[in-house]
Amino acid sequence: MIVRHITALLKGLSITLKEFFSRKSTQQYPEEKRQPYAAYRGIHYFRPGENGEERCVACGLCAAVCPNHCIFIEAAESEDELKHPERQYAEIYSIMLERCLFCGYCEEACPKQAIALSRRYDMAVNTRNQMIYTKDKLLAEGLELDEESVGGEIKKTGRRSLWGA
Amino acid sequence: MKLTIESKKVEIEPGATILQAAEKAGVYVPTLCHDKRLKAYGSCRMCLVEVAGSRKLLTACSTPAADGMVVSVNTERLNEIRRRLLELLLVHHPLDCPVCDASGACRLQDMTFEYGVTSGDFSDKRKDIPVVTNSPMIERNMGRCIFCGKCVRVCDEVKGVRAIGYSGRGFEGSVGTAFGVPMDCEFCGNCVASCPVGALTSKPFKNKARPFFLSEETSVCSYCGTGCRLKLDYSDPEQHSFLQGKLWRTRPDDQDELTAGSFCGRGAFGYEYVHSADRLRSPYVKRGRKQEQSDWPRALDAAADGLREVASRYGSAAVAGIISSQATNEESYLLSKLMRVGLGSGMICAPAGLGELAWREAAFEILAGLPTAAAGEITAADLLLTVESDLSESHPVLGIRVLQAARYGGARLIYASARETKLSHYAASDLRIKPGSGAVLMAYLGRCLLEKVKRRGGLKGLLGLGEFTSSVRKLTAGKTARATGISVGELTDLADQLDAAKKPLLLISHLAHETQKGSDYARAAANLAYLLARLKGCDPPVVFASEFSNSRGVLDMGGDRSLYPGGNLEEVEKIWDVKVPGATGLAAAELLEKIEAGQIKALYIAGLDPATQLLGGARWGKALRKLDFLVVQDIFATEASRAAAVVLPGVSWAEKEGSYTNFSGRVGTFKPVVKPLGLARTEWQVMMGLMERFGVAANYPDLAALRCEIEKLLPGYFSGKTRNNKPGGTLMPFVTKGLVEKPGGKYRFLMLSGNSLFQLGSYSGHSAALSERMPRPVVEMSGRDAVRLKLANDDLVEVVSRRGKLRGKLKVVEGNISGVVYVPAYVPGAAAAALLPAPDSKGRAVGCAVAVRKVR
Ligand code: SF4
Ligand code: SF4
Ligand code: SF4
Ligand code: SF4
Ligand code: SF4
Ligand code: FES
Repeated sequence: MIVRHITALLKGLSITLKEFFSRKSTQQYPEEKRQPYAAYRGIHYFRPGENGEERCVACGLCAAVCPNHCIFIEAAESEDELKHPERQYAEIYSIMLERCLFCGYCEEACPKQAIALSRRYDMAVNTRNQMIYTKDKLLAEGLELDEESVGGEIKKTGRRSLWGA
Repeated sequence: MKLTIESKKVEIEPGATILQAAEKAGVYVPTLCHDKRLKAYGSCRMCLVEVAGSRKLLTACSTPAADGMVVSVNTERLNEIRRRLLELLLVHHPLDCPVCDASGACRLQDMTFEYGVTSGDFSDKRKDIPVVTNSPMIERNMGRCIFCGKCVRVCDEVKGVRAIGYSGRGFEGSVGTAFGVPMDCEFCGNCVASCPVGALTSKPFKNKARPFFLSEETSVCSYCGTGCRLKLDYSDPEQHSFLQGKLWRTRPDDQDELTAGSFCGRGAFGYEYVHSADRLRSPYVKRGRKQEQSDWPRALDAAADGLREVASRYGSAAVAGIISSQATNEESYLLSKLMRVGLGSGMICAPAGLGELAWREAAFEILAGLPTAAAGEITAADLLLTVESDLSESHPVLGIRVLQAARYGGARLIYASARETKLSHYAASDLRIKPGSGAVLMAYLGRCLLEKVKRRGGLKGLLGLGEFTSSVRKLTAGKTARATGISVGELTDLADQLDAAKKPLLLISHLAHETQKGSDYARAAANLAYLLARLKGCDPPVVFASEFSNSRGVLDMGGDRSLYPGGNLEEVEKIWDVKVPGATGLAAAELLEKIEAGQIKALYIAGLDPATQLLGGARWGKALRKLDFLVVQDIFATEASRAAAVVLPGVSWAEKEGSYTNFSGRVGTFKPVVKPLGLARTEWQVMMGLMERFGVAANYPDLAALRCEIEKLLPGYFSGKTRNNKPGGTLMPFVTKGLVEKPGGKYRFLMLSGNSLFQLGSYSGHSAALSERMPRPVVEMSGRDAVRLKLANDDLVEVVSRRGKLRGKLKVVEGNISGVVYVPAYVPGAAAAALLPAPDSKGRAVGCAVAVRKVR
């Protein structure tokens, strides 16, 4: 009888011991960050152009395809040939991330490979306003992001290599 | 004729094309170069069809249908050909859809998608042709051109302007002006609207909004009395990716029987005033000497108190109202009710801009039962007589109808005017008559017809015959020839032609050249129309083209004269359930005199600026400052609003619901597409607020309820079913009245003024594109006078009258009659009204003597 109890105890303890020495499956977030898989779709950013131009030409396809209507664009005409080689550019571009479902359609639709989804997922903020990603924020995001958080060469449909054509 | 298309049977009139038959059968045939306004061209070959028994493929757009034809449209062979054609078009195409204005509404894009052209067997370098941006309003991106030729053909066949043509051949070809100079045309926007791709784009719209985000609403143009139906493309923040609602552009409506899909520069580029920075955004109330911003309840209280105070101190006849001819029917009705019931004053006036005199007289005839012909009758006519009216400038879309009838419809166009204009070039006879002699000319023609009608016994029941006959007895051919400056031979020829024509039509406008048109002009036209009707056994064949979008509706609603809505005082009293003062409305000139004499102390102005829009503008400016109390409701700050005690901001037509009645009585309704700007509120709601303060019942929860009440007085008004025009017909004695002011001495030119293609009323001045096109008046002068004064084209000149002056750019028009200068009205900062005298009580044409000198 007692033996039975002891074996059960040892059995349980052995599991504890085994887990104690096995690889940890939790992480010390936020000190340690999990690296999502390559095709993970996180916060948006604007890819910078090769010569420092803005890639987005305000064609509106991302906004048209977005199932949640979170993208707002107002186009305008620019004189600055370097920044806006195609003259048309987005005077206002903003994504309301709190509405976004991270489907990535915007990225797939974009003919200029301007808008893209990074692998960043840490988007907790204190006010709703901070969830509105304006053009400046998206551009800044694009410049800040490193290879890691963007996901490098991603094979998923439509997603092209980082900074590439 | 019967034929079978895609196994559907269809019956059509002989002469129709296969395409028309297919349309009737409801079979879709792809087209790129077809336009129903134009002659068949057959360049794109997209519409190729197979006809049983014929080895050749035929173009549906240009092949007449034949009886018993069996046509297939959707065979694999045809679709393969279409795919190939598209591939070829795409070889050089820049494919810059992301930045192309047409994207989303591009025929090439649609068809590429439709036929699944994703790759091609041909390859060559893509075109990289620089965009031509040197023209105002229109940009040409020739890389995208598919050479359908529509723009070139529209400009020629529809507009008769021929500003653009093809240059170069093959791959190097493009559409442009001769020698690549900037376009200098009417800027009607029809080429842009007809371009199936994004090769021609409108500058104000370019790069701003994507067609697939825009919502569409059918509306009506807010400028002239033609009343073209327009499509408004606007953004709806609830629906698409826009943060704000905005009117982005206007397009013609090709389903509109009146326009057949055309519009003019004002309709095409004149919408920008809706979002102009100069708009009034909040009510203002005068405190001491300063106008202060206010809120609605306080502003309405101030307006009501001020009007009431004047009425109680000086009697209700000391309060008057002026309503603009661009106010909607509903607003006019409410103002008419507010003035008559709320204030007990019948002093209402709806001045018709500078065309006041002739229009009031014509309006009297129209409201007394003279029906005006609709646009369709222009096309049906075989003789068109226009007297001192240039419809192609004042009413450009009616002008298109006139041109098409003259060029392709076999109608004889007789153009009699002091000015050489576009119509002169297409007229079968182009008669240069002395300014102001149109009335005499028409009276003389009336006299000639009288004999003929009498001989055929058609005068029975025509009232006023005796007086008319004796008034024209002395008007012999010789006398008329002297008065008009054309020969006796030409005059008799003209009378014979009128007699011989089966369907003659008289075309009269109230604004081009109107400053020499007095009340006698409109009377002569009406007399002639009545006589023609008797001669030909038809309705009076006359088009009275009204100046503004609602010149006619304002009168129908009782905005002027002794008019009540529906014209029957008893009915009005029954519906309004009050005793309506018997006082009559009054003409702008009488109103002006009464203000100057101190008899009218308070004025409510709805939507116009007398100093720049009415005859005798300079006097108006002073008169307004004499008033004890002035309320101005307008969408812009004007000279009047600056003098006002209370300013009520109104809204543009794109922000409200309403309706305009065009020249022929067609009512065009429109709905709001954008929200009112700032605190501005729709005029009819403001008027209801005032009515409430005067204790007038105004139980209209919405406009439908109000229209219901209007229809009780004017049955079927909004559905356009009944226009109860009783067949009238009273000839009026013809009395030549002459001019208020004749040229002579220092002021030796007669100034004519009228509406121009780019400036009409106050709206155009706040529409950037139109104003940039005509920032200052273009002063026309005859070649002879220019030589005498040593003036040349583009000289800066000053036109000075006894009352004011303006500066403009000289344009020498060889064919104009000498002794006359023509100045477009309504140019901001250079209002012709300021130079013009006010009319006198006799209804004489004002005339205006001016001197012209060069500015150094
Ligand atoms: S990821 Fe999807 S939901 Fe989010 S913005 Fe892009 S298209 Fe819209
Ligand atoms: S992000 Fe891409 S799809 Fe969206 S508007 Fe810009 S260019 Fe077009
Ligand atoms: S014309 Fe049509 S196909 Fe060509 S770039 Fe513009 S939208 Fe694309
Ligand atoms: S510019 Fe447009 S309308 Fe003119 S030919 Fe080219 S494609 Fe046709
Ligand atoms: S003709 Fe008159 S109604 Fe038609 S678009 Fe031009 S201004 Fe507007
Ligand atoms: S539509 Fe018939 S050839 Fe172009």
